[in-house]
Amino acid sequence: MKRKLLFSLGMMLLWIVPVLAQDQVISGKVSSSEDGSALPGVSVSIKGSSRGITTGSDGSYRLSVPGKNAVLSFTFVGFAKQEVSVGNKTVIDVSLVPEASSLEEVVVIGYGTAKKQNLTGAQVNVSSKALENKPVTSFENLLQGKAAGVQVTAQNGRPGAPAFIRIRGEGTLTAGAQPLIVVDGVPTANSEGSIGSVNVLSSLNPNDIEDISVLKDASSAAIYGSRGANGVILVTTKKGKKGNAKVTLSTSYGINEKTPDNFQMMNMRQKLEYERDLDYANEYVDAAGITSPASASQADLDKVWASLESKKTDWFNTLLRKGMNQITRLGVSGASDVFTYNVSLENQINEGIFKLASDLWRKQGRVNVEFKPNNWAKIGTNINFSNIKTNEVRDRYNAQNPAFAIYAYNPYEPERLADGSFNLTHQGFPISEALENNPESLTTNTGLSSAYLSLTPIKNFEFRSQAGVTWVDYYRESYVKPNSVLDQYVGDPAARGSKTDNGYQSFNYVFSNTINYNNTIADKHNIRALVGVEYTNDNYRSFSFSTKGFPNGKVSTQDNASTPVSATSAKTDWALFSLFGRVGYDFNQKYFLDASIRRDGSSRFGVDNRYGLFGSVSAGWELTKESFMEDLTFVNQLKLRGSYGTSGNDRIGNYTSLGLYRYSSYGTSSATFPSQLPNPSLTWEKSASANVGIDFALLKNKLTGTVDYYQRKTSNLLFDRPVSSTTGFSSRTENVGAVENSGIELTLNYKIIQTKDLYWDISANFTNNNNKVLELTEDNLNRSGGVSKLKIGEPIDVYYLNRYVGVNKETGAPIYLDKNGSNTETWSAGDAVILSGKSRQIKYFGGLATSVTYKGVTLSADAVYQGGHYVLNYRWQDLTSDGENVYQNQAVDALNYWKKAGDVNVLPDPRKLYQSFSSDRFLQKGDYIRLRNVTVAYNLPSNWVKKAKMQSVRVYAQAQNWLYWAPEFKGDPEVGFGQAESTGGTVQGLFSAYSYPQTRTVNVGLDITF
Amino acid sequence: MKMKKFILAISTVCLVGLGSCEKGLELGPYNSATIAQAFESDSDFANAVRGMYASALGGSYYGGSMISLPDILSDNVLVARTGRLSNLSFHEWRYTADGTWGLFATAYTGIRRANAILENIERLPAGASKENYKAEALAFRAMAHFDLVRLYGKAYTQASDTDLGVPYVTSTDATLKPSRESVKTNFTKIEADLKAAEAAIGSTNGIYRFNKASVAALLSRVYLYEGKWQESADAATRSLALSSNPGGLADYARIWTDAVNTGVLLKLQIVDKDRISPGVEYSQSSASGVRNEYVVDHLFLQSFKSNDVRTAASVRLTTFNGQPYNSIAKWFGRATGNANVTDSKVIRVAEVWLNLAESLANLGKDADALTALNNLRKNRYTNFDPGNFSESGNTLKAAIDLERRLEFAFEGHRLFDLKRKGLGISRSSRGDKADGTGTPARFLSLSATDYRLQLPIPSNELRVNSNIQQNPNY
Repeated sequence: MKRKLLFSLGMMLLWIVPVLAQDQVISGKVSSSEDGSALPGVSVSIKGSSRGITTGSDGSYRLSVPGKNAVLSFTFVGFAKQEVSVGNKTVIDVSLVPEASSLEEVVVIGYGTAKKQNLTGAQVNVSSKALENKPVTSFENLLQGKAAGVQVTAQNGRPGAPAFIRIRGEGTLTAGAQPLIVVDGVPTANSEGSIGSVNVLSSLNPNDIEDISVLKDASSAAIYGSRGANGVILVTTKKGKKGNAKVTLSTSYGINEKTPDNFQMMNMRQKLEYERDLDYANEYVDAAGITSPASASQADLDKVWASLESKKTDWFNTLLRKGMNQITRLGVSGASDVFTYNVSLENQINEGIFKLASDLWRKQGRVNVEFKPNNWAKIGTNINFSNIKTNEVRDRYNAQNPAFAIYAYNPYEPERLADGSFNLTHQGFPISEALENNPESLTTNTGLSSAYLSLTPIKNFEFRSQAGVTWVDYYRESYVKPNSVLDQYVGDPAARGSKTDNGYQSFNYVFSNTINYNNTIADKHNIRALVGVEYTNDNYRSFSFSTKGFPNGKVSTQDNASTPVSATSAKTDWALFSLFGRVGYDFNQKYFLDASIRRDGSSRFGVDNRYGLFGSVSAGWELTKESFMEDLTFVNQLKLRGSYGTSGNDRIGNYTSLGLYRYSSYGTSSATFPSQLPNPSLTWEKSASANVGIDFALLKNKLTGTVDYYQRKTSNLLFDRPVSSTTGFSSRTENVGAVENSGIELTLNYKIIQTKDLYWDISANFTNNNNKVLELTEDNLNRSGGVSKLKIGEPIDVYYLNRYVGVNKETGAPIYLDKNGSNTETWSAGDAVILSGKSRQIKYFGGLATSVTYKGVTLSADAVYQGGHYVLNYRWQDLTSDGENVYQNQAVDALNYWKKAGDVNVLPDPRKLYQSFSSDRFLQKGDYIRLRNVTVAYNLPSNWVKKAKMQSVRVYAQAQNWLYWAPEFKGDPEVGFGQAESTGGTVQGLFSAYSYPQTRTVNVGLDITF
Repeated sequence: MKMKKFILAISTVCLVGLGSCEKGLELGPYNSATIAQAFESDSDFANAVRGMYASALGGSYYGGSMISLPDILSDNVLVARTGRLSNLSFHEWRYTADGTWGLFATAYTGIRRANAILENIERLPAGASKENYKAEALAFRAMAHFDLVRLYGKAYTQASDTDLGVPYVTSTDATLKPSRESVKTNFTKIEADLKAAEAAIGSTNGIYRFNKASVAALLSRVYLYEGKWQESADAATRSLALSSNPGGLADYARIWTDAVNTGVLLKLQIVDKDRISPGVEYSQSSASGVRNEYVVDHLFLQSFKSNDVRTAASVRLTTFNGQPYNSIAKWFGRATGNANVTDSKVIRVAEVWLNLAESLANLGKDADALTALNNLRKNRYTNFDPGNFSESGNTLKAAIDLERRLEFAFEGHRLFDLKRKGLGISRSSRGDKADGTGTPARFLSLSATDYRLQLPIPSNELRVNSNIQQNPNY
């Protein structure tokens, strides 16, 4: 279609170009390098003269040139210009290389759009193709491995769980490290996603997303000032495309299950023998009158053991299941000259992997409409609404958490006793009963909407006014049914059963007004400018009330309860006021220069430091536009970029700078207590970052890529700095130091085959990040969780542990190093040392992807990898506990302990030790590569489809998270939360315990477009 | 041109509108007051005083550890292998500066609140109310320092003049980095605060706050710990003059369900809403039985005589997974309300009688001491006949010690009583089951001179406060 149009244009030109006298006739054929097809309408001219011609419909041309020194120039829209010296040739066939389509691409930038080739900052785009039809509830997970510099780790495998997104490493200590997320131009009130909460972003439907831009350096992110220090992710949702209404119906169905791991648990026989050898009498052995199994006769033991056969239980099978996931989606989109619309509705069910709990139901809808009343005005609105309901499991370090229970319960402990009641087990808690009788559910309604007015009354100026709203209504219900085991443990014997309802409403609005100016002067001087003001206001209201005394488990609302227990409410506000501007200039798309500035005032900071000024400068140089590059025809693009700038991080509590007294109660009367130390000089975290990069396209644009080097120093780190306890406080929020992230990013895309029937491409990205603490007001600060520290010269959270050497082969005793590095068999906490360089900071990461299409069948696969980091594996410690946890099930590895003098490569002798000490024995390298997604899709041939009055039909099958390889880690290596309800357990990858297991999915789907 | 005007108008409106937003940046909290606002009226001070007591209900203070760890660290209890193994590092004396009892921070939190009252007290007009608040703050400050020094420092009776106690903090300065004072200096200041408090405190504060009788009782305990027998006896006598009934035979069990307050001089009030369950330190109950964290040591159990009303109130035979255990019953909780919730008893009249008896015995007044002891015994043993008892000398002292151990079992006294008497810890090798079989404690004894009798100062404090010195060997 496009080609035909160009051909006609070319024919028109033919009329104009005069035919000149011929000195030497050159003929040839022009074709496309992509598929070898003829290119009609290509203009062929002689350099330095006005002489020229265009190719005919078969791509051929004939032209007379003045002599051997003449140079022919071939130009065609959408293809790179090519010049050929004539010499002695009479036939010159030319194969034109398509211009890297990405260069012409218009991408979203902060408060506007830009041509990709104009960018001078480090920005990467992930297109909708990568996001469609993936059976995940949150788009964050889809970013995993997709862009260099963007590291994504799922918090855990809970349906709807958000992910940790780290752009170019972690540059903050206690303030949130999550990037700012801007949806259709509206900065969202996004948080790290605390325990059990549903992230605002999970209300977005990945299928609604057109494009994601990740702003990585200061040049691109500085325009977001005090909120841009962790990088910015701009999400643009789909608008209707010109044409008649397109109706799309999509459905998919699949199953979820726990990813397998390399913990092999003891079977019943192994466990009983292990208990015997460690002289542990479990309740059954003990009940048979054997208090010392080690000294009992095997015949007596066998009698008891035989009686346990009927109780044998596989706890994985008992508590886990294959969950079902199902998505149904309906979309209608289209556009006329004045009206653009895209409407979609989706219903999703995502069952968790535990029986009875952890399911997610999501209903989501989006309406994007735009109306153009005339040629200088546009008004529009983007509305997204979602309702997410989940039932939850606890994320605790005990049997109240099924992910703990599957490892802890012994294989000889049945789920139910002979009378049908639930077995408390040695853990004293029957999780199966709790899942049934202690239901917890969350309902989150989220509205993420904006309305805008855009006017272009004067040429080159666009005025835009936009109001955006993020609204979240969260409601949690936690019911302990009367006479459930938990109720018996903690409830009131006189008022059985208890219920807590708590929740919050959060309303955040952003009002932005911007003026964009774009102009080209004298064809060569391109000028862009932006000024804007923005006001952000956030209101948060929360409540909690609980009652007890329920008549039975059939009713659960609090109007059925006999006795109120407590009721509280709270509210907080914050506001941000910003002025910002940006100017950009380029000379003939060759030399680029950009600068931006932003001034933010935030209610969160001390009166002395309320306002912050941020800015950036950057420059770019397109070398291929230079004449000295002309001979290097294999180079289709080569652009150098450099930037420097500052941004901030304001994510701390709303009133952290104030000295405060709060009210609570003592008995039934009011009481006051000092709650916070003042810090009037509290200010933003400020990050200064420098970036140099090269974008290139080689070999007829088949090979494209980007290399960036960055250095980001974040200073004024916000931290709850410990103060002497004798002040009555444990900490005060202060600006304590500086941390640096520096690294290299590499992205490569290679289109191996591009023919009509077969298309094959591969892409890879790699990031190396070095994280280093540069300054601290006080060195060796302790971190949450107690196993890591902040130390100058080391990465954030460098581990601080005892060092394990091995086992004394004569005695079976464990050997440690003391703090001076000498062997000792006595473990002492004082011997813990900084394990230089070993931290949870991921040193390298990236992704690999490939896609092959052959006649409508597409096979695509992508993998993610990361490494260089360590994880303290508490689960490994628990399951090979040297006898400390003999009462619970253990991994078979625990059987490999020292038994006699001379034993090597064994664990310490648990028969003497009976105790497990924390040490680097349980610190494991977290390196892994994971096959994230494999999809096979088939587009039915269009002639079949058209007969059925449809536009397209696509069927697909895919596997998500199916395989991983982690040579040195025990368990699934993707560790986000260690244990969400434990101290330090929400710090990304600090330790691994029993958080909700990662899951894998297979599903099949069908998309029909009418 | 029309268009330009239009744009100009819109821009102006927006800029003006947004300009006023700068004022919108002055946002304050809804649930807090500034420090100045917190001390304006008499009721503000009453609130602050209650906030001070509430601080002592932290999990590492009287809301938990203070009633359990001194027993878990010593010889009244034994870890139940079927429990959650909570606090095991204390039971096995394996604590380190990184994992020590957090009383240090909690007690100073309370001290900070007391000092804030004292620093602002002049804002109140002179009068009884002002004097009463001041006295309560002084008494609380003394109690918190006393609890700190007896845990982190050597016992007064065992300490040299230079052995370190804790910093005695009398200011709310947020930049404080105090060094440790000697144990002896600590006690001098504790005495001074308590004496000032006793002189000024009101007598109608009730038992949920310090009152005259409880301050005198605490003072008698402080003197007892110092071995100042006459002063202790005098303070005990002053306290008993105000309140002398330790609770009768029928009352003892009911004290633990908060059914009566007879014999209680100071207790910290806990309501269900606070979500503080002190009893969880020892056990949790369900229809399937009681899951014990710690059970009564079987040998110690034999010390309870059959006619001792404390037996049933302190120990209960329970089962868990079909196995019998001797559960600690004092903290099972009230008859109604959440399980394991009961007010935290800090000072009881019984102690004052025992302080008096011990002081008098040490002063050689055995007859008076025996009378004091029997005043308690007659309220503890059914069919008690004082005619059957005529202990004197060391026998009498041993009888007083035993009575103290029985009376205050599982209330957080034991470790400190052993320390002040210069004794080590010696556990029985009985198992955790009801009949003394089952798994015994892995570590049975700690000598009287072992450094671990003084708990390590938390390492966080050492890192932050360079003036603080750690206890030896940690």
